[in-house]
Amino acid sequence: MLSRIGESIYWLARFLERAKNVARFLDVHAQLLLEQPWGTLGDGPANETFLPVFSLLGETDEFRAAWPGRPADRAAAVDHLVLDLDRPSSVRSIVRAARENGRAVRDRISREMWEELNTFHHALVGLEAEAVREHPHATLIDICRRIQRIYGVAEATLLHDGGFLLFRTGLFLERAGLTARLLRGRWFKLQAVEFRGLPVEPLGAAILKAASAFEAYRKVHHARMEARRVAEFLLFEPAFPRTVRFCLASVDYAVRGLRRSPPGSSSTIAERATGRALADLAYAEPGRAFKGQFGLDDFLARVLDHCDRIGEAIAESHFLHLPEEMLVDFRSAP
Amino acid sequence: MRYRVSHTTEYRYDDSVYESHNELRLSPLATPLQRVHRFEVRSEPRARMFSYHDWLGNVVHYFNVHPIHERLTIRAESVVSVSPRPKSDVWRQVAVGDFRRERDRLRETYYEFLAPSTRVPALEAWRDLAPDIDAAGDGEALYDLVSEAFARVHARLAYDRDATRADTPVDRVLALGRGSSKDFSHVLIGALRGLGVPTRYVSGYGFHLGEPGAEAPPGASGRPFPFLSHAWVEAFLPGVGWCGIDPTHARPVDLRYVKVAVGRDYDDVVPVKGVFRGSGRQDLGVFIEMWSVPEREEVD
Repeated sequence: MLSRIGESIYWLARFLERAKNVARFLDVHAQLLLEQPWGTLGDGPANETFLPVFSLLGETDEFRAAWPGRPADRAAAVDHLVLDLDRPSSVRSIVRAARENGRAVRDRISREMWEELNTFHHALVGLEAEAVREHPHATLIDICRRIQRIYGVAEATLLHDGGFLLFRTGLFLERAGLTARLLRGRWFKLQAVEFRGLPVEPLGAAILKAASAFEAYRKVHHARMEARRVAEFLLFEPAFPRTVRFCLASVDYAVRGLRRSPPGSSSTIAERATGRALADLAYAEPGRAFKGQFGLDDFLARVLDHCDRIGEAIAESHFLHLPEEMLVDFRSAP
Repeated sequence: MRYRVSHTTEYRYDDSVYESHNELRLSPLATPLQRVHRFEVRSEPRARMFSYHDWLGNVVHYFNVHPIHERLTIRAESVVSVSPRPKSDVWRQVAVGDFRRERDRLRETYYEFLAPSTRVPALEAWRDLAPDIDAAGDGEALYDLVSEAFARVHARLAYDRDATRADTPVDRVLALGRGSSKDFSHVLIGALRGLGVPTRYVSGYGFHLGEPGAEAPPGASGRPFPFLSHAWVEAFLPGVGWCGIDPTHARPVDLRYVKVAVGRDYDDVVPVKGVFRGSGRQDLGVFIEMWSVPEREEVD
């Protein structure tokens, strides 16, 4: 397989996973506001109810610059994070980028998968802005469902070769980073709630739901919800496909499959990077994750660092990188 | 000439920030006339540096700092030597007639250095600054028209490092009539592109460019202009190649200039740029030092 093709499939998956998470974060936050009215936790200005979603996605500054003076409410969040085609980080733009990558490898993915992707893109282009602002839930849930359908169709109709392994690599690497960012963005707040003796439930459940992990968590932990249990579950649970550990294990498995390296050996820098990350997660003493200078935050920073290095290593060992001397072209002449 | 350059950039945030992603264009370019003996860049807090070449051939280093921090320091050290560049009388051998014959090909090959760019948009002013090339005879030297353009830029602008900021638009610079080396370069780029000559922006370092003995930048009111981050332009003359011209000092680029990055305009060569999470205001300090070091026999 050409590395260019592999790279497109990998990014196709990363973009889809990213879009799904933005949609789900928004939807879950809107629901949280119904269960736990804004302001009960000293949240900030009354008309800035969607600020936590902006900051979770690192979009606060972008938003302030793009819409000076506009409060960060639901309509603003929908405009900025879902609809705005001029911003590369909106759901519409991300899905457009996913489709562009899919189009570049149209003959490498199945007809069914391309059709799902293409109709999805066109459905988003045709969204009625006013309707979405009024009732975002239906649209956001539809976005998540359509993306999950694409995953299902990919699984069921693609040839399970190197391209499919790169699809899995992209999907799980993106998901690992997003789960870590979700936890990082909400951890201090969750701890504060617990510290003040308030029920952990509404916010803790919202965090789990943002990772589609609420029901799974409840199957594992029946007792009263605790902040630390929530964090441990999202990081270390080996049997749930959204946890950082599960995602990194899946990346490791997929990357090894590309070279058919048996466990315990490594033939590319990508395998070494995933192996190190996985060892860090799989053999971590859970208690130690909370012991840094800034507690869990330090551990999450390390997880994100692992994700960066894996992404870099995959690009270096599997995608096209021109040797340096080929880049010194006529333009660099005196 | 061999130089050692130390370039330190320091950000202080008034609140803690995290997940900072940064891109650096600090490594001198390796070209046939410029040799990079050593380049090292480090950040504090420490982070793994990655690098790639951008589409213009510049070396880009990038790194991410995930842990919480209140200060970010980026220290780049390079040792680089510069060989003598061709004299400008070679440039004068390119005739306007040769240029006219090559024009279509240049337009195709160097389109991005002829088209308006973000910081050098299409402006009426370029028409006044560019001499009329259609009136010139085939036998005239193209370089004479180029130097006419930078003479006109000089008549329009006075050197004043503090008159503008990094993001001052070029039409504002023309209205002010003052600017830094960045602004001189943007204006000359506009003028030369108006002439149809592909022109690109160069960022780098200048060694003792305006100290006593050397000519002071016009209008600099005797202020020392020692060794600083500097900007100039390169014009593409068919048959010769990219020719470096420093519009701030009104002279061809020589051994005192170390080239770091090239681009359509400043936006392509920003030395340090990045994003972070957190709500801190930031304070920025840049410290550049440059030494001339003895040439040694090459052992490597």
